[in-house]
Amino acid sequence: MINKKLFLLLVVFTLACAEDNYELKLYETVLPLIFTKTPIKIYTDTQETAKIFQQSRFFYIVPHCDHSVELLVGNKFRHLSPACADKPLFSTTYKSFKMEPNSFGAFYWRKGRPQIKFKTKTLHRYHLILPKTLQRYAR
Amino acid sequence: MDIEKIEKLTQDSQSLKLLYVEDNQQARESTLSALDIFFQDITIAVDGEDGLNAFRKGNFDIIITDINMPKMNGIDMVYKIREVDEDVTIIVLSAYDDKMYCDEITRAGISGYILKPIDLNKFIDIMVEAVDRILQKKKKA
Amino acid sequence: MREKIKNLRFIYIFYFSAVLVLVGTLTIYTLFGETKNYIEEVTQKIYIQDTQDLAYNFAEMIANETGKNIYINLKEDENLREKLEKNLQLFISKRYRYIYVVDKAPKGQNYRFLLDGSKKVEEKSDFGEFYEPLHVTKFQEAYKSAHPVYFTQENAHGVWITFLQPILKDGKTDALLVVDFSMQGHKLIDNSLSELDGVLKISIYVGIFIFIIIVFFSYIDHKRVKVLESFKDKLEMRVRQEVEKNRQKEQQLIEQSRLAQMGEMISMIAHQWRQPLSAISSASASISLKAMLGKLDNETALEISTAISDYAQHLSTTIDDFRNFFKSNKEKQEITYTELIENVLGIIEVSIENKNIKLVKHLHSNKSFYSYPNELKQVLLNLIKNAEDILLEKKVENPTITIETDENILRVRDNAGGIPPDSMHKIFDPYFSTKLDKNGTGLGLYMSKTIIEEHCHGKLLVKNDEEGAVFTIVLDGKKD
Repeated sequence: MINKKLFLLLVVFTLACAEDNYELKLYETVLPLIFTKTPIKIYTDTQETAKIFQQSRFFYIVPHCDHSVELLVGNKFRHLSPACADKPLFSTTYKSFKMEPNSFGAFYWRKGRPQIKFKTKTLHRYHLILPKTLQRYAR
Repeated sequence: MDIEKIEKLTQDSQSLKLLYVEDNQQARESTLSALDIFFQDITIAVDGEDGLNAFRKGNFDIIITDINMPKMNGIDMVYKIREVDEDVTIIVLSAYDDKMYCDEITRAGISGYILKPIDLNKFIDIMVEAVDRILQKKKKA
Repeated sequence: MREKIKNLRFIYIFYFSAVLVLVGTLTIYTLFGETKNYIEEVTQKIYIQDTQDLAYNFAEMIANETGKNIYINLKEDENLREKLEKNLQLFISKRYRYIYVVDKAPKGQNYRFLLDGSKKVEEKSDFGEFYEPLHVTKFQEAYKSAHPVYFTQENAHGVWITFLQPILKDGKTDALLVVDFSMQGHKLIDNSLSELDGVLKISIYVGIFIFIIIVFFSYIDHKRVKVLESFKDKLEMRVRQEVEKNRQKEQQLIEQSRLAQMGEMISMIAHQWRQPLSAISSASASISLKAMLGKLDNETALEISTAISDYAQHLSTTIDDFRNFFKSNKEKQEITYTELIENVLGIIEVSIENKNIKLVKHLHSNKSFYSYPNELKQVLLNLIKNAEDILLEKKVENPTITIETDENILRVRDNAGGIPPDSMHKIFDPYFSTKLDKNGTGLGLYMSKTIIEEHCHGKLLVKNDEEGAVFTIVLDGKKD
């Protein structure tokens, strides 16, 4: 049943709009469930990603990373300040999800279909709790 | 109508010599039948020229004339007569009541203007006046 | 009326053809639409058939190349994976967007990537990577039924079909070959179709536009016709009014002329009457005087009263003459010129003589003819009066009016010097007068000419001789 709910949600999102909005909607649906305090302070590595998050009041994008940042969203961060080196990362690619140790979850497109994944171990490390609706995506 | 007045006029006028100028035969005949009550000696002229000639030849006391006549009309005749005789009494007997004619001929010097058809009273009055004047002059002379 | 019908027909043909064009275009468009759909359907079927064959071949190949458990086989044999993936890659194109093989993970509902034909690094999935397809039910259906399944989906990139081909081991599905291919029509067909589509759409719009214009113009035309008609009607009415006005004017002209003539007549009557009247008054005066003086005898009285009676008779005759003069003749009567002349002179002779104008008569015609006596008398009177007027005006010495007759010709001459050449051709025109005083109505000669030429069917001519003007009347004198 819970399965169906989220499934339906995603179907609706697919039918809805362009990819950009789709992604934002997804982030807005997923991330606040994990990081309950809004707005969530986020630092990203790419302009495109920053642009998407800027459109929402759930998120607050910072130009430079500092220790107040709660979450990193992106692919691969090259020059991270020490304060941010250990921040939790929500990946935007499968590779990043697999390779980055900080990555606790990912959202990316595969074969034209959206994919959401979470790593249980990394979640534990960061004391992040998945709501029941998202637990099926964790491994 | 004062019969006495007429009777007196008839007496006074008997001896006077009249020159009567009229071109229309009907008018002449009918007027003559009235004039011959007053005048014994009546000379007739049938137009202005005829009248002028007759005047030159004769010695008239009174002239009664029409205006509209062939050859010479009444006005011209009066002017010509006046050139030679300023005194002779001239009475106009005409159908024209045109004021212009009236003024002009008065300037020429006439004693009276009688309109046709004749108003008997007016005719008598003018005649009386004229005849009286003639007799007066004769007495003086 | 015929014009109206022609116009109407033309308009209808126009309308009809416009409607025809419109309907035709719409029909073609609909047919085209249907054909397009049919083409798309058929194309789709062809593609699906193609894909089906392709997928089937692939599935067979993979099945043959691998052992009992495809997952384990491929997990262990990287070379085999590479080889098979290379084969899949061969078919990746704009049409075949994704070709990959998945199988179901033993635990849970997830699917795992086994083979991925994608060429791009960022697109290529890892072996064993978990995969969540969108249409899970379809995947499950294909897996369970071991029969190929396909479904359509539409997203931002267009219409897609996902074809699922089960790879069987011992009749059971061990893996699933997925082919995503685009349903966008073949480029050339697409372009032509969309071109044709565009053209047809445009022609429909054009057709509608033309139709609207036609309606608009025919409306304007209709209005214009109405305006023209009302204008024509107004014009007709105006013309009728003008004709009526002219007729009335002519009537007035005739009336005026008659009145003018009557005016002249009345003054002539007055003139004629003056003498007899004054004669009567003189005669009556003489009777009165003679009676007053007692000199009236019976003979004289009788004489004078007879004279008065004559004068009165004269007055009466004058009146009768004038009365008769104005009666219009309904029928032609037999008359002679001499009679006419004597009659007219009876009226005007006195006036002429009074003005010292000499009257000369050369009457050489005793011929009797048929015409309208009173009308002729009026004309003759007019001619003589005109001669009298001009002689007086020019103060001619020895003014003379000559009247001549010869056969059917009557001439009235004067010696006033003649008509000036520049007035000659206008002399019979209405309202043309040479009289200096304002009393010249200018209608006399115009009316005279009308009477002679139209009523009496004769001719009225004018010329100058060495002494003055000569007016000639020529009559045919026939009974009808």
